[in-house]
Amino acid sequence: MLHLNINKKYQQFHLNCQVSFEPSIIGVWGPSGSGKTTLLNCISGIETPDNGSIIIDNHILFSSENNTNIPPEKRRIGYVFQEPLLFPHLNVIQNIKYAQNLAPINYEDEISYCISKFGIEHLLKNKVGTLSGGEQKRVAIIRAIATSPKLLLLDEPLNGIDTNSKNQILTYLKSIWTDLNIPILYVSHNKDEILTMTQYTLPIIDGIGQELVASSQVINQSLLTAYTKNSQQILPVNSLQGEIKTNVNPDLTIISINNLQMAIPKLNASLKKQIRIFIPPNQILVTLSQPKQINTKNIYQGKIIKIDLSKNNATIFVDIGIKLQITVLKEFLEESKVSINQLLYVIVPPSAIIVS
Amino acid sequence: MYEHHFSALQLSLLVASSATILNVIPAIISALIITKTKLPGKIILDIIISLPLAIPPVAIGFFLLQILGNKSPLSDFLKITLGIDIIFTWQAAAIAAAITSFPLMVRTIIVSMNSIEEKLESCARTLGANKIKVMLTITIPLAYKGILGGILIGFIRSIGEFGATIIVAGNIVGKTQTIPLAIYSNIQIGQYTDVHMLILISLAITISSLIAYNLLLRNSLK
Repeated sequence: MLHLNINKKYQQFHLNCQVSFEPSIIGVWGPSGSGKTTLLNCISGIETPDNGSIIIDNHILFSSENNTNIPPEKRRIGYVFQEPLLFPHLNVIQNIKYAQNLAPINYEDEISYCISKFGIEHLLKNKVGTLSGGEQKRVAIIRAIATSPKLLLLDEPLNGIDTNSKNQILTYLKSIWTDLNIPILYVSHNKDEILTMTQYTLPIIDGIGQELVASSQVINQSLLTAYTKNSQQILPVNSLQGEIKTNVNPDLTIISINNLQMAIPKLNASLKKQIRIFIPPNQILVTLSQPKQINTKNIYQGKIIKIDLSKNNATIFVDIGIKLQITVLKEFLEESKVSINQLLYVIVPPSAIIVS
Repeated sequence: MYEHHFSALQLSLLVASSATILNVIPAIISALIITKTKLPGKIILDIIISLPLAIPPVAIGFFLLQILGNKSPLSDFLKITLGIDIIFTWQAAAIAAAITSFPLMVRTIIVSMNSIEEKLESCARTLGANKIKVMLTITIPLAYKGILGGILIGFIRSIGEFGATIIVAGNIVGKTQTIPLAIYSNIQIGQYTDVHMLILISLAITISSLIAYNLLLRNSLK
């Protein structure tokens, strides 16, 4: 079991990841700059979290509470960086032996298996500078396996590799789990890779990673990407499926979601077409009294079903026929004294809706 | 080449080589501490190492004279324990050359160590190497060119050392008179032929060291 509870702050960025899972091949997906590499650096020990804990199979690698911080060389975490980072003063086999000679368990058989499976037997004596990008990556993966790791971290392993080699390497990578039983955390911003490689994925968006989801769901969450850059708090919520109802208005398209009509920005699509939309929780407005003479569409009456005060911003869940998660100011909750089951009005400005 | 030229050449090579050998290990260690550790006092080390660049060599000679000269505690200690009197010997010249050339050697090595991609060293950590092992197996081999360059620059600087040497080692023909000191003496007595000859010898040393350096580099790239 891998338990991660990682908090790491930089000036502009905050990684917060709390998740536990049984390792197999698990994807870590998120847009560029969302904190994926920082997460791997913390697990490998290259970076130290500000606080939290990292535990693998009951073995504490890091715990701010117990003042434990196992150095990277003793963690038995194999790490394949985005760049191959082969040592230029050593040849291919020397690079692999470097890790093998330092490993607590000699993975002689596993290394031979990978060398033949990855098809690099003929390159063993070569200088690393003479290898192609794909070949370098393969050597880097075998070198990481030579450390006899309990977990293998792969950071965008297919970056900068041509399409032909890509499919081949994906097959090799799967065999590391199926044949050698080494669990993998597979980091990528590419949905297709995540779908091909993994069943479950940890989405990290704007530094926040909390729950594993089925990898197929990553596709839905990818429509968050466009929005994540400037927002403070983004969670994979308010992702809705609808059908195009009317398309006569020059600026708006009306869709129907479970019989609820909603105006969205104009879409050139045929009637009855299924589309997916996303409504950022902090773009939805709420008011206790019925809004009158207001210059927007999408005003609904709904009932509060849950109030969550655990985060910086308060979140309320409102049922308007569909369930919406809405970020509100804590002051609003205090002043208006709203409670569960209370009726209120919800305004969803069409301009805030993102269409996938 | 006359005999006194030859003895100056011999002494210069002896002094410069000794100074360089004396410096190599401390220079590598200092560069490693400055570039690869997070020691709180390392900025002080950095400043102390660079001091000889800021102080005139004559002043360094003066300080050395105070430390090593007659009746200083250190000189008394050396006399009693080892029975040696270091002042006005070629060894004193070597120490003077070592001190003046040390910062140049360290600076050159620091530049090469800083240019090593830090990720390579992090990667070695994840492959099971502790910090010391990373320095020995990754940092030093990858900084090879810079270490070689630092040794070369230190050696050439030692060959040319004058100010500190003349104070602590004097200018004794056949004993402490290195090429720069011999040039100085010959200028004073107007022996310009000798001056020209000695300058040629020192140029020859510098040029051959540069050639040797380039040959070593070329071999290392093969």
